[in-house]
Amino acid sequence: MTAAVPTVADPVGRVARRRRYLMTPEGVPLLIELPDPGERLVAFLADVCISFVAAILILLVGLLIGGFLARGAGPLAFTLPVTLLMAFLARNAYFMFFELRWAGATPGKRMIGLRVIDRRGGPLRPGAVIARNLTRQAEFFFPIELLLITKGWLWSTWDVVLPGLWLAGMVAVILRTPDRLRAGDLIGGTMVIAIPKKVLLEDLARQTQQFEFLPQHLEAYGIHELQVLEEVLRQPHNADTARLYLDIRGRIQRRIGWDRPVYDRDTETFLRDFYTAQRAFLERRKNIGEERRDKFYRG
Amino acid sequence: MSMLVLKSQEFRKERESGWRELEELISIVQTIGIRSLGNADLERLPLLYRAALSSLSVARSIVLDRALVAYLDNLALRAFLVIYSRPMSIAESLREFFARSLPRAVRSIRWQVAIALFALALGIASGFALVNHDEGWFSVMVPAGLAQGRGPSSTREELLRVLAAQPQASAALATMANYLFSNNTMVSLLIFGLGLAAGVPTLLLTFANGLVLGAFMALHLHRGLLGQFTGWVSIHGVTELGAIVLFAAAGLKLGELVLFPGRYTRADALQLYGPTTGEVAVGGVLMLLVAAVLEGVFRQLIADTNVRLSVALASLLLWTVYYALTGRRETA
Repeated sequence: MTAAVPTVADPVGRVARRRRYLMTPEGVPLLIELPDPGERLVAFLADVCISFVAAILILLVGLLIGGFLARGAGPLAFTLPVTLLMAFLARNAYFMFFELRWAGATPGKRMIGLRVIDRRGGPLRPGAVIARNLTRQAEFFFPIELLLITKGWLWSTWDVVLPGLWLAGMVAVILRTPDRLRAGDLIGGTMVIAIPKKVLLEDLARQTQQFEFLPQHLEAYGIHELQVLEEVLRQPHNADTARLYLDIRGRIQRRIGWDRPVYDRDTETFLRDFYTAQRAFLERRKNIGEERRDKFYRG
Repeated sequence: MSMLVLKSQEFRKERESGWRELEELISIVQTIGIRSLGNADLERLPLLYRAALSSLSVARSIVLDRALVAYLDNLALRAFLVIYSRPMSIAESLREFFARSLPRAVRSIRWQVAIALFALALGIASGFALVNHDEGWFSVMVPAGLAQGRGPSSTREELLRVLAAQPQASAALATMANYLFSNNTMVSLLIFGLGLAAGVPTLLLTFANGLVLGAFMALHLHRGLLGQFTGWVSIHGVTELGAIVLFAAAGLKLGELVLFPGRYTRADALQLYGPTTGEVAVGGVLMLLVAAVLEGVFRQLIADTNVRLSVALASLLLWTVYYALTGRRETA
């Protein structure tokens, strides 16, 4: 079962994806991220392109063989039905094949880093995969087809309006459900999540420190400020960050009442040492049940 | 110079090798597959996964290094997916679906199936009774597209011509492919989806389907063709109506979940039982495919009414046995 987590903007300003908790059978809630509708659209279009090209290739080969076998028997009679059949297979078999074989990913989804999972944290069932993909047929492919085969845009209003409304409704379902579910996800009991691979970054805390901070220096800030500082220190170094470091060092000095001099060339060391001392302090406090969320904390 | 001891740093030093090892195993599984792991690694994987989960719990409570917590969140999730969301073999998935999930799903909504069957039968009876009484009702109940020129003014010979076989392979294929994309699937999915509106449209549409069939039967009865017509329509009709009953039953289940979610919220109830109805609907789509083949190929090849009726009876028997008996054992 998933539960909503409040969306937080990244301290550095990037807007984070929507987040949810997914309960594992072991009872540990895992943080999952929902992809933006744009990411899903790109993955979907990539899949449509790939399956389309594959279908055309299969069709060409089929026609060559068919034309060879039925020489003179008028292969044209077979062309249309076979084309339709291939399109049907390409649209459905492609998605089902990969979502089963690759445990919830298709080539397009893998490219973007998306996965289909069971909404309750269980294994992805074959029935769910088949259901969510057949539904796509009614959700998007049928109405789009209806729109494409409409001959007169001007005089057959209903031929355009009805499929259009249907499509709009289906998109609205995705945008309006909290977990960004497609109608097929609702029926299949599935959801799509984003899992970018993350690497373990180095620990910013230093073993030995050049600057020593006293407890009264460390009471000014809380966890939020500590983690903003972490984000800043993890940014790649350049002229901009150098200026930013100087600015932040000045603010910290003023705020905590640091009266000893700091050379400009020691700015980064100062910030790293302050980060280490601040983290050690806040972690100790947290350990005894005193969580200082931010600088507005008043014991 | 001074030295500070950070609990989070000690914690990371102690456990990092385990995380790295797990990461290594995950990337092997994701790129090459789980079969490439040796016995030792296969035994390590779940242990490392649980260790990562415990690391994550500890990290959430004592570690203020955001990057570390984010890494553990990601690692635990990827390990979770590797362990609980395995790639499935296509053959095995299909076997699992057809031999267990589908018939079980249908049995789990047997009351809805019964209600849908009743609505359909009621429709057939009403349509038959009305047109039997007065053929004028025919054009009211049967849309022009379905009637295709047949109606109260048709003669016996005109109707008989439609019922005859047309053994042409290309025509058969065209009918079949056409069928796949015709409104049939669309209407059926509508019957299913509209179940969300408390099941009322579902019942009405099912009833309307029955009306059309009943009307046709009365029309042919008056011209002494009931036997031929029944053979002509039932060779694929049994399967097709079976599909419609499945869609309707699944739709009724949806309606029931919306009206009486019980001790759950509506969204939770749908999430719990939605997949079951989805599986039933998938069964319906597949039955429609079978019906398309029966109509497109077999009906054109088999002209004899008695053989047509036996095929229809056999299909009825097969579907009933399949849905009633398959996959009852608790194994697997």
